[in-house]
Amino acid sequence: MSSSSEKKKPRVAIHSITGCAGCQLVIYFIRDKLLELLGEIDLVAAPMIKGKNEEGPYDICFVEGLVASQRDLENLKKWREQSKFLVAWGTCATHGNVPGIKIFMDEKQVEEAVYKDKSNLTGENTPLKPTPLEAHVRIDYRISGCPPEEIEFLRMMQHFLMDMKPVVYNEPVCVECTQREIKCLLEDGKECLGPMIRGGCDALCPVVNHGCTGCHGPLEDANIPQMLKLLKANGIPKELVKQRLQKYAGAKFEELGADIR
Amino acid sequence: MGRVLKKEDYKKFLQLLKSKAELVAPITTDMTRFEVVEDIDDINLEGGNPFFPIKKYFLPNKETLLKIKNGNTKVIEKKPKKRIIFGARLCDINGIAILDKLFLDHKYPDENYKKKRENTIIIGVNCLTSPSEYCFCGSMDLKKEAYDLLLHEREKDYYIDVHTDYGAMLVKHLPEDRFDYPLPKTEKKLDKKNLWPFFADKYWEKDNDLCVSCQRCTILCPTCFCFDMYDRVNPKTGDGERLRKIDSCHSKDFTEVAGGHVFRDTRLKRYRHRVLHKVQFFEDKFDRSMCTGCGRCIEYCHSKIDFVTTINKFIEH
Amino acid sequence: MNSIYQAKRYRITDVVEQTGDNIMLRIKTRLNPKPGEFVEVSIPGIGEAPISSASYNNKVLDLNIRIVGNVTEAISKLKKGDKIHLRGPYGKGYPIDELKGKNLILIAGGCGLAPLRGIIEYIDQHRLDYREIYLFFGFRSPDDVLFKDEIREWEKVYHMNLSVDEAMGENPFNCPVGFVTGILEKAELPVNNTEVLMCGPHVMMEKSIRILENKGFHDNQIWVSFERHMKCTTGKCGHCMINGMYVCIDGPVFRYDEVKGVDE
Repeated sequence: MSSSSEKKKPRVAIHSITGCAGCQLVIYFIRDKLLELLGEIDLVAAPMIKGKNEEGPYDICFVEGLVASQRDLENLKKWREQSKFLVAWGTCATHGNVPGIKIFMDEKQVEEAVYKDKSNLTGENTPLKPTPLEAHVRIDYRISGCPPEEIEFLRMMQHFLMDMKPVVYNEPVCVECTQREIKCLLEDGKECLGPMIRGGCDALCPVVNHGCTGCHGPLEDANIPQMLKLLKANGIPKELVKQRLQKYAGAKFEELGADIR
Repeated sequence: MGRVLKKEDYKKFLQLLKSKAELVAPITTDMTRFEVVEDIDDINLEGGNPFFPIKKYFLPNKETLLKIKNGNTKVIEKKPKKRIIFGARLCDINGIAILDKLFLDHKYPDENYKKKRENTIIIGVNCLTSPSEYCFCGSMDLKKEAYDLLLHEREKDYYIDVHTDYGAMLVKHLPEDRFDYPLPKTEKKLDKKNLWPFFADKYWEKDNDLCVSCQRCTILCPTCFCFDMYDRVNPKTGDGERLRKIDSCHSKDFTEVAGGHVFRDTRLKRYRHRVLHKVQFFEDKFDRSMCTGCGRCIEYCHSKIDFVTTINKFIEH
Repeated sequence: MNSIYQAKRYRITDVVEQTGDNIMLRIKTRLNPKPGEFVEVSIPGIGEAPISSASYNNKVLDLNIRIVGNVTEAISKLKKGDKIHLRGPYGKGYPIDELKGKNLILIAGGCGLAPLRGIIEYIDQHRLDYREIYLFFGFRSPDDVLFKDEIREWEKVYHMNLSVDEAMGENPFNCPVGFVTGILEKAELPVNNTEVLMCGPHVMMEKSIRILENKGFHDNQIWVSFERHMKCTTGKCGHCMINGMYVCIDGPVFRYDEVKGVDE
């Protein structure tokens, strides 16, 4: 109902820190609907697709990636100050995800393995413990996913443009999977983390007969002890489940309770 | 009053159904589901009770309730597709009778449901043996209602129980018969009792530890209907729709009010609410259980939580 | 064709600022819900919110809106002359006929006063049908007091007990500072032939009930109001269900003995 003539278009930014940039690509790949949306917003900063990018203030700032260096932290703090709403976009930003697995290993060893020459890991390149955005600044909304679904971006933009507080899908993968009448992989003796992982993906993997590996990160109230039992019955050892969860939950793995640690 | 269908005429009957409207029936691939029938040879009544109950044809997981245009809501005038459901079992059909009580309620009848109900023919099949070890409909006082026709297999033929005018029209060419077909019997039984004295029983907690809150029990229940309503619009024009989405009382957000308070704040409260709604609350109000004994909530539970066993273990003090 | 979810359009004739997070809309309509009933306010594109009627009048409907969510936020932006969509009225309100010939005690906390204003307006119009009227209204601070003008009027004709939890600055009503339940505890009230109607935060209602029980009131003299997340408001969607009761059609007003000790 926002008529563009009387209302100022919101200033939107899509920024990135350490990550693979895949989450941003999800937004740019929306194409038609994104072009339509661009008429309603002012995309003032999107360094991946724009040459000229403005500093804040931003009304809405999407940030993908996690904080892994001094530069990341400085940028994030700046964007936070400049933004009315800061959205953690993607599992790196919400949980830690793959770049976050460094915390489960000897950090020095990882650095040795990755960098032949560590001499420039100083100043703004100084490595920090890889952590999700919420470890450093206040986050208004979180949309996890590796990568997240375009529908979640569109739904959130609809809500923002209608002056609503966005509602983020918060049910397990099983909901959409069962509604799509997919044969249950867990029941079939396979590995699937569906019951403890946030859905919103429309059961993307189970549909093609691949168990959920947990890319949207664990749900806050996941029943982990029981999930471990169910997976164990399918021959999946705790250690493997732990690895899967560490892979996506990153620094937030620590919050999952004693049963898995 | 009923009719008799000779076994050799069974396929001819299915062809007739297929010629009348979209025909859906149990089809087995990696499992058995109600699906649109392209070839009547695909229909399989031996593949167990289909995974998803027939409620999906009346209360789809997502549907438009109203159109939103120029800042107003508008009723949708479109008529739903004419459809024949073949091969539904009495548990699913009784489920529809139960949904009718709420959605065809005389004060607030739900138009979307009503239109689908009016445009759908239900042809049931009676279970001679339990399709699954989890079935317990034998203890749930099923009724012979809410279908148009129901086939009961006998040695040489099918007895067709006729329940509606449209059903009668479909089989008017067949010879008449009168037969009181038996309701299915099951080995598993729910020991029905007043559950209020067991509200705080410790045994709920044992089940609760096993629950992973996946919501499969409510999604696959032939009578679970809880739903959410929300708007989806184009932010530029404001036009769009108001939708209904099937929701679940097992979801943590289900009882959240504006401001953030959640009333059923533990998994235990949510699990107990579902079970008691099925076998106590609904009965208190409508004098019949809301559970029809299909057993899906046990069969498809990841942890095989069996509320029937739980209730059977409650003993009056 | 009809749909139970279809709302009708009405015109807002006035918007009254109440407090920082409450506004009151006056809407031209003959819907006239009975005291305690509610309407579903619909903002196409945003959603719906159930709002109690705060009036008793067959020309206009007053709705007090506390701004807490997306829908109420959107409602708060509406202006005089704007259109608003309503469906209803819904719910089981106060048993006005059963209350005839009795003393009434009305207890409200915060925006819980809104539905009680509806019954006060009803009583105003049927004053001879009721005996003594006692009002106990509590608010967080003087700034949070709703229906300020009405309260000054009610003070003149009813036994008014207004209180605020705290008064940092001015206290224009000169009312006691402290919880309304404290005032209730000290009040001398007739127990016989009296009914109590209350609406407000859960804690306030619980405490008031304990005080009343100590004073000798029976549970069947007390009427409480429940707040739940109602979506369809027609006894279907399940969101407002408490142990089989639908707050939307069986309530929102319940006689306390029928809901006492309800655990979920």
